[in-house]
Amino acid sequence: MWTIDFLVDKIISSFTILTIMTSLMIIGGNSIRKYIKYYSYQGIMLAVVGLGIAIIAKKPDLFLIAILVLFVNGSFLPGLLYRCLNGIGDVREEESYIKIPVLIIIGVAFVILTYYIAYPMLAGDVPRLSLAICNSISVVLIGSFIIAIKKKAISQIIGFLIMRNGVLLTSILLTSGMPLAIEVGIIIELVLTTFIMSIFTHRIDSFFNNTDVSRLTKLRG
Amino acid sequence: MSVLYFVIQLIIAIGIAPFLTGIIKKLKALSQHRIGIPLLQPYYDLAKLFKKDVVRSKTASWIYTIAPYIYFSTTAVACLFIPFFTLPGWSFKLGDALLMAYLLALGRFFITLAALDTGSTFGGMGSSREVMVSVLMEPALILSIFALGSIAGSTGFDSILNNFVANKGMILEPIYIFTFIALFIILLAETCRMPIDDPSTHLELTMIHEAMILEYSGRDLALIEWASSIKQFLFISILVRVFLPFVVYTEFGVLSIFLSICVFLLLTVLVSLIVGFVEINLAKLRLFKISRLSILAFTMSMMAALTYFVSWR
Repeated sequence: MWTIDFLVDKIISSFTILTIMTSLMIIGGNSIRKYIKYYSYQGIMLAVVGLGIAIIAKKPDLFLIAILVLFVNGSFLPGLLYRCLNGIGDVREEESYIKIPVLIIIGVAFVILTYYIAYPMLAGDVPRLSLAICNSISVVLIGSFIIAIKKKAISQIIGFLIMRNGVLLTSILLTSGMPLAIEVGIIIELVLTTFIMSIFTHRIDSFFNNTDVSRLTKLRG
Repeated sequence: MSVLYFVIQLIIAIGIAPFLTGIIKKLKALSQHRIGIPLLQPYYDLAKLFKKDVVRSKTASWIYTIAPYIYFSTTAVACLFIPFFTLPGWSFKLGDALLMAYLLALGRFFITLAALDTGSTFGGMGSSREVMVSVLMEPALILSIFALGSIAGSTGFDSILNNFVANKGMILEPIYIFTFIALFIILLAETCRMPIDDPSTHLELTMIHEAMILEYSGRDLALIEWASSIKQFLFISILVRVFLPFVVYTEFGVLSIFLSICVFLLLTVLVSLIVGFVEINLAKLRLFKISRLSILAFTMSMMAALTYFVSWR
C-alpha cells in the first residue's frame, strides 16, 4: 500500500489540483501582489510535480529541470513582476464586468469541461496520470480565461504565465520529461517573454499614466 | 448496546463541549499576553445562568419560549450520528450525515424565527445575516458529504470511517485533502468563528450570532450558549472522525471503549487548538466578502466530488 509509486501518484494528482486552486484564487482576488504570490506558489507546485515524474520515470535530468523551474518560476519571474509592479505603483485590479463568484464558477465549469472531454481520451493511453493531465489542461484554459477577464496589463501577463505553466505541466506529464535542451529553451523563452512584456507594461504606464487595457483605445496626440 | 452507545455519546457531547470553548478562549487570551479565564469558566458561566431568573418579553409568542429547547435538543441529537468510538463490526443504522446537517438546520430555523419574534431590530438583523451565511455554506457542506460518501458507498459517518480504516492510503487522496479544507471553512462559518463572525464581541455592527440571542436571559440563554458549544464540538469531531480516525481496535470491552474515547478526546483538543490558532491569525471579513470564502469552500468540495466522478468510478 505505501509504496513510493503510490505516494508519488497521489502527490502528483494533489499538486495538480492545487495548481487549479491557485489559478481560481487568482480569478477571485483583487490585489496584484497576491496574484504574483500565488503564481510563485504555482512554480513550487510545478517543481514538486517535476520531481515526482523524475522519481516515477527514473530520469535524472528531470531533477535538474525541477530545480530550474523552482528557481525561475518560483522566485525569478515573481521577482521581475514585483519590480515591474513597484515601478508602476498600481496594485489594485479594476472591478471586472462580471461578479467574482460567477467568474469562479465559470472557472470550475472549465475544469468540468476538461474532465468531460479530455479524460475519456487520456484514460486509455496513460491511465496512471490521466487525472493530473486533465488538471494541467484545465490550468491552460483557466489561464486564457484570466487573460480575457482581467483589465490591468500585469494581470494579463500573469494569466499568460499561468497558461504557460499549464503547458509546461502538460508536457512534463504527457511525455514524462522532454529532452533537457528543449525544456531549458522553453524556460529561457519564458524569461525573455516576461522581460519584454514588463518593459512594455512600463512603457504603457509612462505613456498613458495607467495600465488599464480597456482604456488603451483612447487616442493621444 | 445501543442504549450504552447513546448514553456515552450524549454524555461526551454535552459534557465536553464547553471545555473546548474554554480551551480556544484560553489560547486566544495567551496569544494576547493575557492570563485569560480558567479553562472551566464556561461551566461556571452556564451554572450561573441556570440560577438566574428568566425575563421574557410580553409580546413574544410560544416560538420564543420553545426555541432554546429545540435548538439544544436538535444539536445534541445531531451528535449521535458521528460515532465517537467504534467497535469491530459495529455499524449503527440511526441516520446519516445528511440527517445531521438538516437537524442542525432545523435548530437554526427556530432560533432565527425566535430572533424575529420579539420585533427588536438587532434580532432581525442577526437572523437575516445568519440565514445568509448558512445559505452560502450549505452547498459546500452537502457537496463535501457527497464526495466523502461516494467513496465510502454510503453517507453515514460510520461507513466513511470504516472505509478509511480499511484503506490506510486514503489520507493522500485528493478528495480527502480538498474536503478537509472545505469542512474547515464550514467549521469556522457554522460555529461563528473569526473570519465570519467575532464570537467575543457585542459590537452591534459586526455580530451575527450574538445579535440573534440578545433578547434571551437566564436559563434560555444558558441553553443556547451550551448548544452553540455543542455545535462547535460536533464540527470539530467531524474533522477528527473523518480525517484522523485513529481507532483502538481490540475486542469488545470497557478498556477498548475507554481507550478509543481518550484518543478521540485528545484529538479533539488538538483540532480545537488548530482552530484557535487559525482564528488568532485572521481578521474579520467584511460581510459582503463572506461569499468569496464560501465560494472557496464550494469550489474545494466541488473539485473533490468531480475528482471522484473522474478517477474513481
